Amino acid sequence: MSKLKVTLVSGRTAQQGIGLEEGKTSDNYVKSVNHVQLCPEDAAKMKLKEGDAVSVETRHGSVVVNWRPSKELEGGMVFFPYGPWANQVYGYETEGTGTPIFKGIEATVAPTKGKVKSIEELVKSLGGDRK
Amino acid sequence: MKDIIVKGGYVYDPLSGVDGERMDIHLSAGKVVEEVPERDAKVIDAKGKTVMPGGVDIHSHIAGSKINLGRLLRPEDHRKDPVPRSKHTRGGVGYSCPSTFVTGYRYAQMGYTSVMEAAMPPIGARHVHEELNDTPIIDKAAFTLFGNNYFTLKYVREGDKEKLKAFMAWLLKVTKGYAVKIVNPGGVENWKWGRNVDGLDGNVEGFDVTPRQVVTMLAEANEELGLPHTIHLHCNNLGIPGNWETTVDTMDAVAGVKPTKGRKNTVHVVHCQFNALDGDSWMTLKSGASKVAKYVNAHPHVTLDMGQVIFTDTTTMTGDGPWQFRLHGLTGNKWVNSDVEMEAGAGVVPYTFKKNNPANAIQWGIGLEIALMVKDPWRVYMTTDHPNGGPFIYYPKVLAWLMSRKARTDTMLESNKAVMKKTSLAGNYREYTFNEVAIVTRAATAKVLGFKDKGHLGVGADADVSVYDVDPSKWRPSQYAEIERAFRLASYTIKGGEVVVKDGEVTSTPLGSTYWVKAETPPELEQELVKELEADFKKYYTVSFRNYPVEDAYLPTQRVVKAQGGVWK
Amino acid sequence: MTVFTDVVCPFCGCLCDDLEVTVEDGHVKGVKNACGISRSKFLNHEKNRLEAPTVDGVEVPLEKAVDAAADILSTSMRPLVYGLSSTECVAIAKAVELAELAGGVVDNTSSVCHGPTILALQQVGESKTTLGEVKNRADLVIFWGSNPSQAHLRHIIRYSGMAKGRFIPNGRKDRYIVAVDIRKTGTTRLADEYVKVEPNRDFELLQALRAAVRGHELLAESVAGVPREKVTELAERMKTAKFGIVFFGLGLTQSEGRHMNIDAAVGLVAELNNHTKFLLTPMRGHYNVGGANTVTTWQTGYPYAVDFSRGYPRYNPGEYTSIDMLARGEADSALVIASDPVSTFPAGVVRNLAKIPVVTLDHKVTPTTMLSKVVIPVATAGVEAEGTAYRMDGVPLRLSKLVEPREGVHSDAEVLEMMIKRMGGRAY
Repeated sequence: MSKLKVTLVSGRTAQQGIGLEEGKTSDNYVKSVNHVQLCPEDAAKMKLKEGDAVSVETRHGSVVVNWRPSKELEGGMVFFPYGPWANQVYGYETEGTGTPIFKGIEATVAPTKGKVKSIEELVKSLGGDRK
Repeated sequence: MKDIIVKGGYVYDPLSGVDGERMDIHLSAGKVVEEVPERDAKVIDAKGKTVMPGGVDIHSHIAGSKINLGRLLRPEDHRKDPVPRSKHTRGGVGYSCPSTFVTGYRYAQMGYTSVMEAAMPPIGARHVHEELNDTPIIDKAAFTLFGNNYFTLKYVREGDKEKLKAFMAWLLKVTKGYAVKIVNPGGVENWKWGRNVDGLDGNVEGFDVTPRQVVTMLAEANEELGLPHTIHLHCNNLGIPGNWETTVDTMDAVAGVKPTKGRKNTVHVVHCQFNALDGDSWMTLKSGASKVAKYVNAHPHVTLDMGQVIFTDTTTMTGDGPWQFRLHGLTGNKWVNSDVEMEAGAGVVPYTFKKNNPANAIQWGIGLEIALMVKDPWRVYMTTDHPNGGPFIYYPKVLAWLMSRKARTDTMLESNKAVMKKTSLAGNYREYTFNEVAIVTRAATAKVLGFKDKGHLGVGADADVSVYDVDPSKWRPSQYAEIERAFRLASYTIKGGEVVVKDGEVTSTPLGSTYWVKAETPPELEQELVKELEADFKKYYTVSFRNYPVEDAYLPTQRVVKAQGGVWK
Repeated sequence: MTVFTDVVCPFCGCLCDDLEVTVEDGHVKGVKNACGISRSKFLNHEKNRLEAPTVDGVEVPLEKAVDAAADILSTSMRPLVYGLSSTECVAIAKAVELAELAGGVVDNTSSVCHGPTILALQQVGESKTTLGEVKNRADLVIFWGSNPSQAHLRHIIRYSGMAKGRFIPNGRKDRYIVAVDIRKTGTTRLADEYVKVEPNRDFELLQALRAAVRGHELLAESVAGVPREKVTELAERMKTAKFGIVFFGLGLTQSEGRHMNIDAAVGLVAELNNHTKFLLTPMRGHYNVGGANTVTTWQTGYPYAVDFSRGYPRYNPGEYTSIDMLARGEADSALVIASDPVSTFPAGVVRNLAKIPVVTLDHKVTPTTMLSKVVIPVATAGVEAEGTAYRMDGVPLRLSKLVEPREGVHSDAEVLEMMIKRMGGRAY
């Protein structure tokens, strides 16, 4: 099975909160947000092993991240902690409200040989190379 | 700052007994003085103009969570009245929920120099003071809400007036409040369960006390503490036809309270129009003004303010949660409710007073009737309960109605006939004089608030002066439009000895002072009180006792007024 | 060694004010009563700090950085001032003043979180309370699209779940807790009842509940994945509660329907007040996002998305909101205060932010400081600078200054004031 169709949900996690207070460039922060969580059954369907990377894709973009199993999620639902990696796959349409949609969007997840970008690489890829 | 001489105007200074005499007013170092040398002074030519002390608004909603919820709720209100920035002023919005800067500017433009925020929830006191600090020019004070406070109700239940007094002194101190405000006593506590209190003798749930007991004990305690102002009371049953009876009963409940020395009054009943309704329902509504006025005329312990209705779209906002829910039900308009733990609540509902609506026309008539039927102008004050009856920018319109029967008739003819049939306004020929206007807009309000240096132009008074472009020797009541024009934009407003408005334009924006009241408590009693408060705070509040008092950082321009000294057992 | 008690936590909208912070030699050494995130904030506030002001990545004296920032903002046509939810209120007021002076737009982070809540409030109102009444009275607590177990870690303990109060003497035992969510979370786990709603279908469920509360019979077998019986049962539970409250989160504002979801929730709650006491309160994220709305509202009449290009404030979410300003390529410079839009905005608009000169005031290195032209390090509000913050329920509390910032580092408010002076602003 190559690609899994899923519903993508973003949100806060305590780890992300703890990490960001250490610093957005800290390992703790990066680890807390450069992954998606999916249920073990879905991971098995894609034959994902610990340490594998996955590619998450929506109509707005794609990103390579790590994955973690989560027993709380049901099949077909993927949780992506708020952060710069998640933002690669969300759109900016606000439909006149000012607020983009960060929850409940269609996506695909697939195993990938691609590499997870570092925070610096990610900022650079967005055009932010002013360091 | 240069000395100022306001020269040759017709001066109305009722507290000093000056009634339209042509005289000069000398100002130096922020005060009215005997005389300053003319060659060093800025001379303001007031010839042919009206000169009064700066206006003192006794009851308005200008700062804090309630008005800010109104602002938040009503972008459509702001959009009809945008205010651009200028060389001297910040931009903002006006109309019924003006931004803080615009509030300061517009009051000053009308010649007002002191305004009272009428309802401060204690836990939100910092918010009130932050907004007051962003309200330029005018002096301010805020009235702390007591009538549904857990500790008030507790000490009333226990019958412990001494503890109640200590609590009042403490809460005024920690919130930096100026007076004891009571809103629908007991009703807001019951609203925490979605219910109201059933009139003056209804039951306050969980405490088994009645509003009558709450009002009476707060009034007694207020007078025994010698606070500069009496209790400031929004009665039960506001906005309910037939409520004049509750209002008169409430007044009578405190008739036996002994006033603090130097005054006869023991209660101020706010926005009386909303509490002087007669009839059994909105269909049978008629004016109860004569009944209220009759009582007031016979009882010197009561003062009132009008709560005049303006025919316009406005925003109602009170600390009376159950009333606001009722109004939401009556109108179907959007509704904000905001309960405040342990102490208070509030609601906000937009409302349009329409000329062709019989009830609104009657309400309009009632406000004016009250002002015209209460004989003593020292006991009835001009307000719209901004913005409940209408925005404060319409004060000049209210003055025109008070000063001109023709102004009233012209409005009555445009309004629903109910105002002719269900009020006595058409038969009222009284017209306020300039002197009476000065009384109901500054002299009497300053006096009843206990501001010794305000509301008059005697030597030693604050140098707050307004000059209006109307010649009282020539003016006739038929020219009421002239009153509206002159009082809307003052020729000059002087605040603290500085010209802040010239020809209706704001020229300078100093930050006025915030007044609060300090009442002494015997130290042992205060210690005992604090111990009790602290214990209940731990159990029932969500902020710590230590984080409750407003820090001095929020009062960059404070003026402390000392209570007269308490009577303690 | 100094121990500060009753310290207010500057992390989330709970503003817990019972922290005990130990300071030794000008450094925070310990924190008591704090949640994990708060502990991290206090103990790590010196880590990953910005070292010095920079322009184009080159270290410069503060005055030079302020000059450069002022030049950028006063010469641009459409400057965007953004952030403000993690700083104190004087800084927020200064940011509004600066936006007015520059004829720009001032927006805050509510435009990507509870903006839709505000839009709904402006349509239909809101019935809310400070958290103490929840602690004292609530016997039915509903978390809807919110997950305090991860985002507001002490909310349930201090205010809404375990908290004992006047009429809730036994705390958790006296409350029935319902969690409505599209997925299981820590919050659904501790709830008495988990209502699983299908993604993007909260609006339907809210309206069905509203119909059921009105006594209408539901014809559909299930609504948004919830069986009919469960809907009517929940409606009945709401009607018969003594005091109910809905705490809703971004699950409603950031999914389809957005403000219409809140509109439906407000309508449901208003309806319930014909039967009993019912309220709702948004779970605000950043500790002073409430303050950002509050201050902006009293100064301009509007809570966010305020444009000063005509000299008076105009308000139009969807037009003057940051995402839309950037998406259209309209903002030609940005001033970011106490926020990290590069980590919080969709990549498509971050690319546009990267094309314009950005001035950022922050205490730490962030993706936003990495792509900013001018970066000015500031003191951490609530640790190194005092000021006011507004809790999620509108209660204002005083943040403390516990330690001195590094030499030469000023608060957000002080730096903004320098910029205003440099831009020709006057004292009002």
